[in-house]
Amino acid sequence: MEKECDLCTSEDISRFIDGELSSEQCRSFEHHFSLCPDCSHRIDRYISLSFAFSCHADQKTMENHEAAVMGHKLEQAVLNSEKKSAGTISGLFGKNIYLKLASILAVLMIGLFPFDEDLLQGPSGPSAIVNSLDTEYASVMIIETQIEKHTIIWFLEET
Amino acid sequence: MIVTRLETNADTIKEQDLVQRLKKRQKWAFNHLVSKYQQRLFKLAYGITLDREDSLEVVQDVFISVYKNIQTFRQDSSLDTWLRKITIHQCLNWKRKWKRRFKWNHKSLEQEYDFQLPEENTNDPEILFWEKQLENNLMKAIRTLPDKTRLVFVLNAIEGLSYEEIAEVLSIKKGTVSSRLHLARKSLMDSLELNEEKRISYGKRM
Repeated sequence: MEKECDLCTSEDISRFIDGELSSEQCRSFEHHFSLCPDCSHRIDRYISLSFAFSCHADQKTMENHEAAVMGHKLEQAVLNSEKKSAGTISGLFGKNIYLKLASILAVLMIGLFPFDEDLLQGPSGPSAIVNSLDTEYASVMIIETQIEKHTIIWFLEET
Repeated sequence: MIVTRLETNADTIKEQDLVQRLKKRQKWAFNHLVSKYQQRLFKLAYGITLDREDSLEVVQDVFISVYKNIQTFRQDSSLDTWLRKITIHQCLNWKRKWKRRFKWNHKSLEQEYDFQLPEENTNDPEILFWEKQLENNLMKAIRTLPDKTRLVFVLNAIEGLSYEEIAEVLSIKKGTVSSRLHLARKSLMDSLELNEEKRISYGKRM
């Protein structure tokens, strides 16, 4: 390990190469550096450290396929984020609003207007929603009445 | 001088426009942001994490964070500075997370064998070998620097930031930047020279 110069600390050298000294200090150090081999050597080493590290990092660029994969992941993340916001109260009726309204309407229709005349004899409204699935393009709902189960499927047509 | 000022203004207007479009959730604006900044942020993330895979994940998280939080960006600072701050924050969080799992101490194959030598290098195998060794030693030494010290060194060496800019990004004093940067350089130089001395004494024994 090298000894420090009496006239100039290694922190002064560090600040000198970063241009963080006053112009007066700079001038006086420049004169000293031209005469002091230790300081001159330290300047070279400090500069080469930053340069070597920057070169090493330069080689680590993102490859095209990595950028493509990242682009795809970001797209998915953005979509998921939008879906999540749609799940909140404010976004509840944002997307798939027609599917949601159609689901509510269908449940009401089954409840109010039975499919079969025989069913008029007794209560016919749905007693429970067995299962439901809501995707971007279709919704499926299985409704259980006292007599049988109904499966309702809605498709969202591309416009 | 006037031309430079005009160009700077044009860049600012473009940046303001981009931010406004990002706030309106325009998809192409987001794609433009990604393609414009991904390499730069990757390089910065690599400087901090020193791991390629981690850096990819960090950059991805940075863009997701920007997408989610763009409404909170008040443009007090430039988009560059904001992105840099998010990247540093993500990197440090990422490292903290992995440190708990001892990932940081794991030595990947890439670190040992993936060095690309610059094209202008000589073909002399001995010189190539020692250059490779030097780069290996430098990277090993950088890994041993304390987080805070390395971060200042990375921002100076990779991003080329002034002391004032580093102080602003890290919310520390300019004097602290100076002392940390000096400490980083001194530690790295001492470590490399120690390795050099070992190499010379090993060569003498052969």
